[in-house]
Amino acid sequence: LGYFYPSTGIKSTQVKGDPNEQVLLKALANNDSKAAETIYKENFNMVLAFILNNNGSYDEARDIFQEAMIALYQKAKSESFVLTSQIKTYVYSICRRLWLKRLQQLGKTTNGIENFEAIPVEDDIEIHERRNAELGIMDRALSSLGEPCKSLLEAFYIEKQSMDQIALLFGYTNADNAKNQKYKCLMRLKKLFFSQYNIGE
Amino acid sequence: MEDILLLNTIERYLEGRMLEEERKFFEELRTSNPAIDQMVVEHKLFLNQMDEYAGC
Repeated sequence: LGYFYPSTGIKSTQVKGDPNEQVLLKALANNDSKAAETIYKENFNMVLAFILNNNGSYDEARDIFQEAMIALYQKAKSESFVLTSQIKTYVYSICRRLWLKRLQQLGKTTNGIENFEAIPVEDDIEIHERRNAELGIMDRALSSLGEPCKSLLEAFYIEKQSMDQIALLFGYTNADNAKNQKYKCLMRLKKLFFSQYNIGE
Repeated sequence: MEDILLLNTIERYLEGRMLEEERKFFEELRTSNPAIDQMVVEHKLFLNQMDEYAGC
């Protein structure tokens, strides 16, 4: 799988993290929309050019860039995160790798046009894709639960509402009955989730 | 009704809502009871996934 990577010049792009970029990533991790906007402004055109040059469209570039932003956000949020390359290099490398994978899946080829040097990001892509797969499992498990279970569990675990609020919202006569129902729904959801989750592991 | 109580206990434990003495007692229970230990591990994994999903 190393064939997408040039055999030389990889290490040279791993410059020491720029303090300004560290601040930017910290802001991104704290859900600062300005940080996300800055990263978008400084990097999207580079990714767009690469994808347009390699059999892709504007919409596809937006999709791929979005994926890279999520990967970068997740990375910035992780406690062990250390910036070992410039954001630009990292974003380009993720997008490049994702796009080459997408082309392969579509049975298309690359024009081999590179406008930047890439670093190896295989591990990060793998983490990102595993996370996407896990989120997909949860999404499908919740969807197949049906109502009112889906809304009830979302109100409790996602919107973090109290059982009293939930009882009121769903029309239960008291919080204990709502709790009972929540428990039944939860058991069903966990069963659905783990039946898929184990297969993926 | 026992299962729902156990699940509530596990959630309180995972969310750090137990008093020190209760937490110690529950951790001893986990050590001596592999089935409960497994339930805690599984539920923690599930709640982590739920949090990830909620963050999207």
